[in-house]
Amino acid sequence: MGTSGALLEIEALSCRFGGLEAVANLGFSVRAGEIKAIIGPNGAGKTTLFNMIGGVIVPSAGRIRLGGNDIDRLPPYRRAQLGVIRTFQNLGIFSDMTVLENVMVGCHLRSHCGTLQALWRSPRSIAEEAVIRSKSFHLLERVGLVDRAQEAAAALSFGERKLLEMARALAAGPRLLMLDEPAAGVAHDAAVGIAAIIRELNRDGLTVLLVEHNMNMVMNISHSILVLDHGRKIADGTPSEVRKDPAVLAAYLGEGEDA
Amino acid sequence: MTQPGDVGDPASTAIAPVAVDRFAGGNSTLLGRIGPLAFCVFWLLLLSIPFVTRNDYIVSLGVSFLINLMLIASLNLLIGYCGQISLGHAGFFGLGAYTAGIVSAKFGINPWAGLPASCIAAALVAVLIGIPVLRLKGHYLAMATLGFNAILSVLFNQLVSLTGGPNGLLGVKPLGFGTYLLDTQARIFPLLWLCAGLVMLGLNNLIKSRVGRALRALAGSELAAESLGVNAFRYKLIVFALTGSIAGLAGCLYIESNLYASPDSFDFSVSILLLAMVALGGWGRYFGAVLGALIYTAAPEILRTLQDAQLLIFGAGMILVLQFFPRGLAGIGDAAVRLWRPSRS
Amino acid sequence: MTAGAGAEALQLIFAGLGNGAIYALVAIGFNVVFKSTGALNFTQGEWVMLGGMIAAAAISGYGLVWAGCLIAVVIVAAIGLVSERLVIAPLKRPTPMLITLLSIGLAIFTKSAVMLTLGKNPAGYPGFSGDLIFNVFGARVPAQTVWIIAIALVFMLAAHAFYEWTLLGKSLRAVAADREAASLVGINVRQSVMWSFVIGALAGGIAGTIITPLTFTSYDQGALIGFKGFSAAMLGGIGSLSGAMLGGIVLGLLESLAAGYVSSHFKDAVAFIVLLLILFVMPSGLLGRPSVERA
Repeated sequence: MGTSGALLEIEALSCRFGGLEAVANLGFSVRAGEIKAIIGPNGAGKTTLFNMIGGVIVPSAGRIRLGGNDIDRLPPYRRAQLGVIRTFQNLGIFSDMTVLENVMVGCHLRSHCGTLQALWRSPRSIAEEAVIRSKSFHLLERVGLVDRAQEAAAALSFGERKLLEMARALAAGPRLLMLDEPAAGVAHDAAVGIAAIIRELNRDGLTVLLVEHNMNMVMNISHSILVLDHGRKIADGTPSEVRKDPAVLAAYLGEGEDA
Repeated sequence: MTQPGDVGDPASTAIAPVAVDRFAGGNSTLLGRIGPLAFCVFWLLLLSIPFVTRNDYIVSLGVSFLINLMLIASLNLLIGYCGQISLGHAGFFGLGAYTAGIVSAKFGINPWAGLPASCIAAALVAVLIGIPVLRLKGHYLAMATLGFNAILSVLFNQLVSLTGGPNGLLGVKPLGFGTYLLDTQARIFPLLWLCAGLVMLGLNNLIKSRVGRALRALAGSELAAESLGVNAFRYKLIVFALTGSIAGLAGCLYIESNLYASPDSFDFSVSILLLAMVALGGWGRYFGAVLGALIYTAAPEILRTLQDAQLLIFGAGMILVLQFFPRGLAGIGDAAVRLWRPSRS
Repeated sequence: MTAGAGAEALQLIFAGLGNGAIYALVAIGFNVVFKSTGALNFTQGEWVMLGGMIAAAAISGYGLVWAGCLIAVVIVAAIGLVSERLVIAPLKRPTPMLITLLSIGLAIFTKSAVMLTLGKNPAGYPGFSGDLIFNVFGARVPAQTVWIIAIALVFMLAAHAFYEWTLLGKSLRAVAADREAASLVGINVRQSVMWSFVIGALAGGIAGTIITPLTFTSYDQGALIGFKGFSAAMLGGIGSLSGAMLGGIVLGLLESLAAGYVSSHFKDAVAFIVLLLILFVMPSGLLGRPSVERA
C-alpha cells in the first residue's frame, strides 16, 4: 500500500492537445475504500483524466501511481490486470454479443485457459467455463438483468446498458472501479438504483472513482469530491466542504444548484 | 495461481447455480438446437462419398470442398470473429503446399513430414508478419498480407529449381501407410475428412471459449476489450498464426491430393475470392464457412453453362445477399429467428 | 558508358514518376472513401480499369482522344455515384467491415460487366500528343508521361482547393475527422459518403484514361492497380493528400528502379519488400500522424 492508505495517487498530471491544455498540473489521491467523485462543467477535463488513468491517452507530464507503483507507462490491458477497471461514457458494450457474454468477457482477467486448452475443450477449460457462467449470472442478478441474460446486448435500453457495463466491470475484479457518468441519460428511478448499487459495492470494500453530473447522486454517495474547471483543480474535499467552497459556487454550482 | 476475486474462488459462486439452472441449454433457438445435429449428420454422410461412388469427378468435388472449408473457416475466424482483414490467405495456402511438396519432391523426405512442416512454416511466417504489423491499428494487416502474397507469387514463379516455376511442381510423393499409398483422391479423402473435421471442431471450441469471447470483444471495441484486460496484440497474433497454420495444412493436403501444384492456385486473386466466400457464406457465423465452401466448390460447376456471365451473377448475388443479410447467407438464420421470436423490447 | 548509365537511370526515374503519379491518384481515391466510411474500397482499381476501357471504346467510336477521355471520366464518376446509391446507401447499419465486403462484390460485378460489354481484348489508344517522345539528356521520355504527371498534379491541387475552400469539401473533412460530431452540427453524413464515392471514382477514372495510352488495359487489370494504389495510400499515411502523392511516387520509383537494376521478374517482390520495411520502421506512413482509436 502507498502512503496514508491512498490507492490511487495522481501527481502533477498534464495533458495537452496541440495548444489546448485539457488537464493542467493536477494532483489528488483516492483513498482505499472510498467513493470519490469528479465533477466539473463540460470540457473540464474529466473524461481526459479518466482516459489517462485508464491508459488510453498518454499524459504530457506527471505520474499515476496505483498502490505505490507507477502505472503511467503501462498499456490499458496491463492496468486492467492490476485492477484499474473502467466503464465508458458512450457505452463500450459489445453489441454483437448477448448480455451474458458481455459479462463473461469481463471475467477474462480472472480466468486462465488459453488457446490450446480451448481448441480441444480440455476438462479444465470446461470447468472454468461453468464457473465463469455462474459468476456472470450472479453479477447479472446483482444489477437486476438476469432475466435478460440471453438477449442481444443491443436490445437493452440505455439505462440497462449502463448496468450491464457495471456488471461487466465488476466481473473483472477491480481494485479501483472507474465509472464514467453511470447515471447520465438514465431515468430518475434507475439513477437511484444505480446509486444504491455503487454504495453497496463500496460497503463490500470496493474503491470507486466516478465522473457524474447528477448532483443528487454525487452529494449522496461520495466520501470526497474533486472539482475541476478548465483542466485545473479548484476544490477537493468532503461533499459539505465542496458545497460551501466559494470557488466551486462561482465556477459550477452557482448557476443553479439542485443538491 | 488463484487470486482473490478469481472465478475459482468458491465464495463468488455460492448463489449462482440456481440462476444457471433457469437458463440451462444456453442456445435455446430452434436453429441453435437443430443446426449442430444436422451438421454432424451431414459430416458423417460426407465420409461415405468415396465409398459409395466410383465417380472421380464427385470425389474430386468432395476433396475441393474439404480443402475450401478449411481455408474459408480459418479466414472467417480472422475476419468474422477478430475483425482483421487478410489479403494473403492464398499465400499461406501456397506456402503450405510448396513446403510439403518440396519436402517430398526435392528433398526426398517422408511426405508425412510435410504435414507438420507446412503448418509450422505458415505459422512462423504469420508470426513474423504479425509481430510488427498487429501492434498497429488500422489496415496494416491487409497491406502487409497483400505484399506477402505478391512476394510469394513472384517466388513461386521464379525459384524454378525449387518450385518448378510457372509449369508447377511435379514429382510430389503421395502419403501412405507402408505399401498402401494414398495416391488417389478417393484414398486420401478420409484423411482430408478427418483433418477438416478436427479443424472445424477446434474452431467451434475456440469460438465458444474464453478466448473466442475475447476475440469477438476485440472486434466489437478494441478499447473496451483492452480496458477489461484483453491483450489485443497477443490474441490477434495467436489467431493470425492459427489461421495461417490451418491454411498451411490445407495447402499440404491440397498438394498431396493432387500430387501437383502451380503458382496460379495461390495468386492474390484467390485470396480475394476466399474473402468474398467468407462474406457471402456468413462472416462471424460458424456455419457461414460451410455455406461459403459449398458455394465456392459448387458454383463454378452449376454456373458453367453461363460461362462468362458467371462472375456477373456471382457479384450481383453477393451484393444482394449482403444488403439484405449483412452477415451473409448464414445470417438468414438470424433473420428467421428474429421473425420467429420478435424481440420483446 | 557513364552517359548511357545516366540516361538509363533518368529514363527509369521518369517511368517511375509516371506510374507513381497514377498510384498517387488511386491512393487519393482510396483515402477519400476510407475517410468517409472507414472501409477499404476494393472497387477503386476497377474504376481505373473502367476509365481506360470506356475511353478506348469512345475513341474507337468517335476518334477524338481528348473528348473520349473526358466522356470516360464523366461516366466513371457517374458509375461511382450510382454504385454508392444502389449498394451502400440502402444499408441500415453501414459498418466499415460491411462496406469493405460489399465493395468486393461491387468490384467483381464491375469487372465482369466490363468483360461482358466491352470484351476481353486489351484496349489502348494514342497519347494526348500522339506518339511523341522527348529526348531528355539521352533518356527517352514519352510525352504521355509528362501529361500524366501534369494532370495528376493539377488534380492534386484541385482536390486540395476543394477541401480547403468549398463548403462541400469542408463538410467532407468534418465528417472524416469525427462522424458523430459532424452529424451533430447538421452535416449529412450519408450524403458525404456519396460524394466520397464520386470523388474516388473521378480520381480512378482520370488515372485510367491517362495511363492507358502507355500500358494498355483490359477488364482484369483493375485489381492489381487498385492494390498498388492502396499500398501507396498506406505508405503515405492513410488520410493525407500529400502523403498519398508522396507514397505513390515512392512506390512508382521503387518499382521502376527495381525492374531496371535488380530484375524485372522480381520487381513486384522487391517493391513490396521495401514497402513493408518502410512501414515497419515508420508505421504511420511517410507523412501520416499516429492516431488514437476511439471506442
